[in-house]
Amino acid sequence: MAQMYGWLGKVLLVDLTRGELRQEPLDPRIARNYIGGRGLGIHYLRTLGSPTVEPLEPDNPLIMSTGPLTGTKAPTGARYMVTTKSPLTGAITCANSGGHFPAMMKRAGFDAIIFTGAAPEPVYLWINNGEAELRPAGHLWGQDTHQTHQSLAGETHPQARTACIGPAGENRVLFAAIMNDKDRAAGRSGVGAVMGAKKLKAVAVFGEQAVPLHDPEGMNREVARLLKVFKDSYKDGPPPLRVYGTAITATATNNYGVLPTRNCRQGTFEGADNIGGQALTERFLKKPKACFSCPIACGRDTAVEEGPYQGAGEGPEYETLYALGSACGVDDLAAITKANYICNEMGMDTITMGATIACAMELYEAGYLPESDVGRPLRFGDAGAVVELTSLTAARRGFGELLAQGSLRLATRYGHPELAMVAKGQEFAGYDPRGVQGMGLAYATSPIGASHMRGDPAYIELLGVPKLLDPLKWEGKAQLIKDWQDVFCVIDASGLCVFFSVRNLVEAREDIAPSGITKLLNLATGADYTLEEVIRVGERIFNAERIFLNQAGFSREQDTLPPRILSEPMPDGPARGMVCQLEPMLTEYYTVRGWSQQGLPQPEILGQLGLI
Amino acid sequence: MDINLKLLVGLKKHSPTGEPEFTMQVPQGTTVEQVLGGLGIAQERAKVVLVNGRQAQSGQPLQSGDLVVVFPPMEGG
Repeated sequence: MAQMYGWLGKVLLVDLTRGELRQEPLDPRIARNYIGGRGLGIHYLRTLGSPTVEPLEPDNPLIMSTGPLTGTKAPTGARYMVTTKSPLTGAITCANSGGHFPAMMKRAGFDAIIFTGAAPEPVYLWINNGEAELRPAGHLWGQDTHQTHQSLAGETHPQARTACIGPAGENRVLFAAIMNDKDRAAGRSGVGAVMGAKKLKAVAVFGEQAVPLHDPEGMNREVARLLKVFKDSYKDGPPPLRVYGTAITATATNNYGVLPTRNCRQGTFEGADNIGGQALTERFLKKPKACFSCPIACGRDTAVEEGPYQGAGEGPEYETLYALGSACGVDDLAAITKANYICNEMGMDTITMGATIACAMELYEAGYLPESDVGRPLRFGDAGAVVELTSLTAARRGFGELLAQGSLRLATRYGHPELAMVAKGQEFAGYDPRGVQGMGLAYATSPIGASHMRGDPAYIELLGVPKLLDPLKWEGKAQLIKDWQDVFCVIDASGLCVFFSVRNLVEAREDIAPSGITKLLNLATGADYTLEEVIRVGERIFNAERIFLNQAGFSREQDTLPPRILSEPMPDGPARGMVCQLEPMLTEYYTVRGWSQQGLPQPEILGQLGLI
Repeated sequence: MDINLKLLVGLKKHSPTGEPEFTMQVPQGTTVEQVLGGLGIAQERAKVVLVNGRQAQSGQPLQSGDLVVVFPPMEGG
């Protein structure tokens, strides 16, 4: 077989039902047409899975895939993607994570791992320099993610990297995460519940294989150039993300009046300064933490050393601060950080956890949710309740049993589904779409349900990266969101992190061009991609995901937002009086995408993308 | 007239009081650019300028009591 560059050239197929492992070569044609990562994920999901499968049944495949830049010197080439059908939403999900596990997975010899079936008893997968085996994991079942990490380092290799589930995944909490390197999360949509249903506790990897590159010297030169440009752009001081972490985003969102507060009843939070980056840095930061090959170091190594919420770990990120903080009306940073630690150790998505508690608080205050069901009062601002309910959710104990199903099922049970701040059943990220119009369209059309990471317009509508547009205007946003979604597919397929890419590898033209990524991909793979071809791959990935969604029963009707966002004017702050103008944006968006007004990709665009 | 300023995310060093939030007196008709220039904040550092929570327009004259929030280029999320 011809040498592949940017790849180890192997895919591992793990049939958990039979306990059989098989290797296949990575198909060079598929690698070229889908780049990798998120692209490989949707390709394999469509090939091996079914859009109509029950997500927690054995037939639902779970795919872990790296990109051609994962494990290389390309700045932030640290990411992998977990793709499956989501138990939270019934839609596709692709959850992304960095840290060191993805690079080590590739160095251990596999570009992608595909799990099918379900093991009769708990197992873990151990890969040591190309040799893979399934091992019993009964002794690990019940351990939290930190304990699991430690146990596996002891019984595999001291330098092994692990991705695992905690008790939340074992208990099939519908928003359980897969945690790698202890505190990094493939967080959203319940990928950890799928892993738990397969009785797959963990994947441990160790390897020393280098990723072969088409032009290693050219890559070295380009990486040196990029790092110099990066360094020179921070002559006035280190990157805000290193100093403050993503928590700094609260500064922007609260000043714009789009920080979701009290289940989106408000867009500004009086306690925002108490939960922002400045406060986190001053009170709890031990040191910034970087993923593999990352010059930014936005990760937060933190500790709460006094008071009732002591603990140590990573976080919180901005999205966590919004969900467990402002969405719940809580500005007690120690409590938020403690709830974040619990989510990390139990293996749960902090966004859905917090937003679901926020929804419960509104149901309670409105008199729809009786105190006897919760077992305690549940008013906005109750920091203790947030911490307690987070623990109960992981264990599915008491009221935690209902919270473990996410906000839409909870609100529906109490007769008010409109109070769930979700798109396609997945909870919002930390931006109220009434004051960030493009974000509303991005939430509504994201294949995984509401997400800020499937084409994040906050960069363009709030932060001015790579260009700045008015967040309150909806006109012209359809084309922007389409372009940005496709570029995010490229970033996610390549194995890069959004944070470095949006500033350093993407150009603002009439459209948005991933020219820097194209250059890195060519140096790594020798694929000789044109910029247009790379953009087309992004569009191909997005449309392939849409086909899966359509076949799973999603169309225009599901591309929507809660009534609060569409018809209740924002009551406060700079976005006061605004609602999200979703319908006109959506109509224009479908046209721009070449989809029918029902949201179905039409034969012409599918033909152009090679998807029929 | 008095205007209120918030210089955020590392721009505090341009504050005459040393604090990120302060009030300053400027003549009627002063523009955002004039205020930032007077504080020594280079245009490329003032990536986002909000006046009362809305993005400032080029040459926008300020009104008494306006809140001007400035932050440098940053990623987030």
